[in-house]
Amino acid sequence: MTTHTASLFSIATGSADPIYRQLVEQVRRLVAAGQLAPGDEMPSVREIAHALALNPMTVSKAYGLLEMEGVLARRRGLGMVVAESSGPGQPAERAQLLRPTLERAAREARQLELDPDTVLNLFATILKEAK
Amino acid sequence: MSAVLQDYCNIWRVTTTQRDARSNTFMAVLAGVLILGFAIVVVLDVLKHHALSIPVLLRVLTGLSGFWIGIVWATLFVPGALLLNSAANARLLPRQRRRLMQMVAGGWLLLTFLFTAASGSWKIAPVVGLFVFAFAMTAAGNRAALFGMILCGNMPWLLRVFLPSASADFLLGETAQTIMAVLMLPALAWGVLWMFPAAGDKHYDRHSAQVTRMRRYENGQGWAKENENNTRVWHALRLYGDALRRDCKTRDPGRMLMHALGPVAHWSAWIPSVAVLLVIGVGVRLALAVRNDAHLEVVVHGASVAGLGGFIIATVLGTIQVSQQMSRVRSEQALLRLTPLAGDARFLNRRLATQLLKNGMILWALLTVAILVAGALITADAGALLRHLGLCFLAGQVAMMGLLGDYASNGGWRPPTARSLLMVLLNSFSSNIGWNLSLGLRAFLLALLEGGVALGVGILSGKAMFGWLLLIAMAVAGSVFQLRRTWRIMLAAPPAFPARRFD
Amino acid sequence: MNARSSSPLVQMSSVTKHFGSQRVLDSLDWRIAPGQVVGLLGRNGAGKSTLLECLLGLREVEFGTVKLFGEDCASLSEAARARIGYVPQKAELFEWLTPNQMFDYFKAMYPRWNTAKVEGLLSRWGFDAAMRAKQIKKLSGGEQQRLSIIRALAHDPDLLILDEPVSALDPVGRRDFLRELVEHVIERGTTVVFSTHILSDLERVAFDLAFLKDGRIALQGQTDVLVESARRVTMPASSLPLKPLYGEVRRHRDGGVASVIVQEAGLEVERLASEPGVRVEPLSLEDLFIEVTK
Repeated sequence: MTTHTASLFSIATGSADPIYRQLVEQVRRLVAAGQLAPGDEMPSVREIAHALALNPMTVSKAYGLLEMEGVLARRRGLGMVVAESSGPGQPAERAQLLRPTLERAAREARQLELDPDTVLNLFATILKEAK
Repeated sequence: MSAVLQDYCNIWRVTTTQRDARSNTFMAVLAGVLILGFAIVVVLDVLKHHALSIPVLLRVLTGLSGFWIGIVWATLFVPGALLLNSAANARLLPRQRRRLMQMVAGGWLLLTFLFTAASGSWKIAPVVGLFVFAFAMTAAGNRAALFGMILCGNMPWLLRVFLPSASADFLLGETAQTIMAVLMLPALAWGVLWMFPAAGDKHYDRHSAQVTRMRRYENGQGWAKENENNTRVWHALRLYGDALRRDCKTRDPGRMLMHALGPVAHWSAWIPSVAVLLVIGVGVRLALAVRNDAHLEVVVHGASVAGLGGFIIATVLGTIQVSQQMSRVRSEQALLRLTPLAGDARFLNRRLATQLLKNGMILWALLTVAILVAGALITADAGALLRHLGLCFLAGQVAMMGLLGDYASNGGWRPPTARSLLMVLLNSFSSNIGWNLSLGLRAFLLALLEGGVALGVGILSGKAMFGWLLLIAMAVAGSVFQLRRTWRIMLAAPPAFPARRFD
Repeated sequence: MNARSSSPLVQMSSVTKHFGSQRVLDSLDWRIAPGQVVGLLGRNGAGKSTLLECLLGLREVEFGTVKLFGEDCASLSEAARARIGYVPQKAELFEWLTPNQMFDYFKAMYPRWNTAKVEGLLSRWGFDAAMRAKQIKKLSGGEQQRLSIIRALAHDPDLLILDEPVSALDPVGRRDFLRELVEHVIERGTTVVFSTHILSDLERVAFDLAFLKDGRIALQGQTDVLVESARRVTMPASSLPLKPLYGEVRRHRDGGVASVIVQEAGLEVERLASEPGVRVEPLSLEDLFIEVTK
């Protein structure tokens, strides 16, 4: 059971994603990748706010959302820990992480006025190349 | 128009009208006033002699035009020219530096010629030249030049006092003057080259120092001595620091609020000048005691009137600076208004008025005492002392007129962007507060009226003393009346901090 | 933490102010709750400084009321004034004093003064003993600004008004300032009103935003919500509906292409998105700022 520090996170200002969403996404990815194991202690809201110069309420909001999703859990005395039930979970859950990227690709496809079959074939080719 | 003339016109435009939109008005009004003055002189001359004495009138005309050119050249053109000659401009703008130097030198020569012609004797040419140069540099904000000016003006009698009469006569005689007149041209060349450097590391430092100095002068923030590093501090500033520390300990709200105006408006700013005055007084007394020359005493007596007269004007300026300063430190005042010690806004004006009055009185008393002491040292004539006292009271009345009032008002005080006291009078016509044309005129006319009455009484009764005593009484009465009026205005006005509401 | 009332800390109602013939504030309403960290945004010359000065009672308003801590801002009690910290835009204040003298002076003006905090900040932000004895006019713009900020924080205010406090600071200075704000100011529950052009700072620290345009608060809300929901819809000019869309902020035609900025993607936008040639994009804070204040 490791205790993580705020260096886990990095945020970028000036993007269309608000900061709390960036934090949420990063936690989800780290959990899916296994770098955050169930039971690991998360850095406190204060710690993250101090390290990244963020408003503590933003960090609380991110943590609150993750708690609601069940990715993190609040333990009395320990603060936030990675929930037992999360983890490099079901493929369906992990696939959800890919959603935003795919949505962007779908928008571009629509702009380029490509039909779904062409797009799917292209994606399959790319996946094969990437292996 | 030839290219050279076009250059000159261009540069003239940039340094005067484009730098300050009101310079055209200023030049016109000044010309108008001088022409009016000349017309009055002509009329008086005709009335007195029943004929026009052409040579005299020509000289007066030359003098007046010299005066106009001098004021415009020194207060508008030269500072602008110094600003234009930044390091980048000096190197990169092809002809600008050359043209600036030509124009400055040309103006200088013209002025020296005009003043010398007006005085009728070419012997004073070197002194005039030096004086013009010092005047221009003072207008550009250089404090040291002011001393040069004062020195030039007082040179004749100072020389006589401090040097054995043989050397004094020699210095003021033909050969010395001729030599100095001849030396003037290379001195002029050197002076102009010094004023307009041509790039280099030192140019950068000098130019930025010049710009800050001019900006501070134009905003009337006084001439604080340049500190090269933080260990050499102006002596009066140390006095101010002590006064500040004492006030911080006692936490008197009125005095703390006045510290917002900075050291310029504090009485400690005048200590060096007072000290200098007293030293000069002691020096002159010692010199006179050593020389033991009755004739000299008379000369000194006469000259002291002029010298001390300057100081009396300084009392007026000193109090003017206090109310001027109110309008300049507005952001500081905003901060102070938000502090708890400043107290309720309703009492702010009362506190300020009390403190302003106290400070004004202290300053006036300090300067008056200094003038009286110096006067007593230089000449032991009771009549002269009474004269000085009377003038001090009159100056005090003039100063007190602008001390209190509605500082919050928007249409009131306009900080002078002037380079000379004349501009101060030309500012806005509203008569609420602050030294503008209407207040200046009123103060001047009142002083003139009282002076006239006192003079009349003195002449009628045959004893000048009565005149002066009456003048003192009238000045006190006038001050009290004005102060009561402006006190009521100030207490009824909205909170004075921040003055003029940041506009 | 002491109990805070739920009534707004700052309450401006129908505030109107003219400069000559120009109307700078036009029936402006604004409420700030205790503990809020609000960023005030607006173009240069939109009147942000004027708004903050009117808020503090430093300028008189022609119409409307301004209440701070429930008291009218023109007659604040001493206790109320002790709870306010103000960093004005002009940083070069009291330039004839040295930092030591300036802090002594202000210490005498306030009943509560956190000397330890001042010492800590001075040493952390690079002010050694020599610099503290140098006249403020000899310091650089950034150093003067940092002094201004320290002075405002020194008496532990409950309401902190900052008017472009970091304009002269380099990125390291700004980050230090933000950290100080987060660690000590926001944690104490201080209400902060922050006017700046540096949007990245606002994104980090300001939980709420207010856009000042045409003398009013044109747009107000939580930073996250504003950035997340705002959309730019680009479409061929022919598809542009005549009626304004729900939540529309502005629309713009450029030849054959039209773009509409909406605060929130409503049903109409969803419908438009499925049409050919229509692009719906999220906006960054900078884009939102430009669009709202145009």
